[in-house]
Amino acid sequence: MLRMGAFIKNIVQKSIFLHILFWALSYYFLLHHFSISGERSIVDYIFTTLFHLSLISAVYINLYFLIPRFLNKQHSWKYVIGLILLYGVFYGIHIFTFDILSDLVFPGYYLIAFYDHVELFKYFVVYIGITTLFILSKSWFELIESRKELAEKETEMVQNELKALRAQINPHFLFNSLNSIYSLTLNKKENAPQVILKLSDVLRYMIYESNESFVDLGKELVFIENYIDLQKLRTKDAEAVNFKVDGVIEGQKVVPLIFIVLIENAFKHGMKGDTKNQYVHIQFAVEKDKLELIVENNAGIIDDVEDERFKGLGLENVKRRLDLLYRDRYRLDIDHSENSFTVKLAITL
Amino acid sequence: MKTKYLIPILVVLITAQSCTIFSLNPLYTEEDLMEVPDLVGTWEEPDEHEYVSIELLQNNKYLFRYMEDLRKDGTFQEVDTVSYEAGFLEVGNHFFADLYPYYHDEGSDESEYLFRNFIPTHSILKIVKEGNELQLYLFNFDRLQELFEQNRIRIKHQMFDDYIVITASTEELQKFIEKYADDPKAFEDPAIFRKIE
Repeated sequence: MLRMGAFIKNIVQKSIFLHILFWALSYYFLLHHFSISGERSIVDYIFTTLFHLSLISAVYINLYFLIPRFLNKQHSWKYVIGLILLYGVFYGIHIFTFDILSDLVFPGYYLIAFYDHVELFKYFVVYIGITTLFILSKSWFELIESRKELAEKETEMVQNELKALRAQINPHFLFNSLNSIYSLTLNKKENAPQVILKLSDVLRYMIYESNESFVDLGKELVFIENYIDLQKLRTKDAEAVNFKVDGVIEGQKVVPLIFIVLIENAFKHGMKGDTKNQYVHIQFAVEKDKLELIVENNAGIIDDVEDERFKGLGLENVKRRLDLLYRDRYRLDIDHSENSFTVKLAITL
Repeated sequence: MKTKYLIPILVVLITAQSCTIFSLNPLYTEEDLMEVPDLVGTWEEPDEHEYVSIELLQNNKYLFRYMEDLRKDGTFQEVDTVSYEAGFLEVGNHFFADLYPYYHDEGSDESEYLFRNFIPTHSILKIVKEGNELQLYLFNFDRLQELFEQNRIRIKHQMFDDYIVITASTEELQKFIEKYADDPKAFEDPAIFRKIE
């Protein structure tokens, strides 16, 4: 059954089949339309055949010359002039067909051309109009198809970038966290198992739970809180790290791992530098479907040796994903002064 | 008042033939009509004692009267006169007259109700004028009937036993006549008249 469907679809997609079908239907309807008496006689068949010569000529000149050369290139006025000239050609072929060709090909038959311009023009308009619309609708469907393919590719790209982001976050954070845990266990600290659990939760979320295009905002915030707790282990002044969530977060969905890049940057730039007055303030505010994140940190010096090729890649990655997934529903402001670095992200969820 | 509808029997009288061809629409448009001063006058067909009189009415329309001298003494009897409003025009390479029943008030009105049931039609004559001679050609009914029956003509028409009524528009009729008039079998032998006035 599926094969049959694919077979029919394949045939229908063949333009030559559609052309034959169109002209067959045209012949059928015009034969009945032109038939003088109730019965179709040989003279009606001949007349309908000859009448199609001018129609077919006009339609294909329009489809294969005027549309590609003028309409597709948005030269509208040239296209209109072309159509006017085409009507002249159409009329000339029509008269030639019935005044000369019909006498040569069908001697002994008396076939009369349409001499009423208005009536002949109606046929011209209908055929040129219908066939032009067919072509435009075909182009429209092709455009829809290509947009769909583009959207699929963009989605695929977003997924790939998300994977790349995970790979980018993981190594440093993982090794640093493991170092911290090593230190805690070495000193037989009581909170060591709890820290291991937090790291486990962070990794589980990053590896398994953030694969969807959108995740629960609550889960994302738990992940961020765990991440911040792990980062605090490596800071000299844990009090300098402030994390706050305002508003109702239940039922809200968000693209995963967007915020973490901004927060990771804050720890990388702020808490790792040599300057005094280190701080990282992270504040989420949710009101109805509006979410605002403000990440502020002191402007420090990065002590991580980051590969030049990947510098700023995280932020660019975030911008790109925001563009793809939130389009015009987000605003990202970055304010970099001498002493502070502030990122404000507003999203309509 | 009597309105007399004169059915176009001229062709019947001229050819003594019972079958002919009529058209619901005229062969001409107002723009096609020509002045024909050379045709104005009285024309005689000596063998049959038949006469044709042509005189200007208005706007290139002419009164075309067919008369038969029953008394054979050169005087015309009113009762044997058939009158038409005629328009002359060229179609293709040929010259034609379109004859349409001409109404005039006379006689009793007893047949008025009867004539209301008639639809006046146009008759078409091909005309050739050579010097003092006027040749009137009728369409060859048998030839046209044969072509219609063989479906070799595509023009709106209605066929009856003794006549064919073409119902096509003037434009289509002109185009058909233009093509068909070149057929050597298209017309009967002419009735030849000579000018006497």
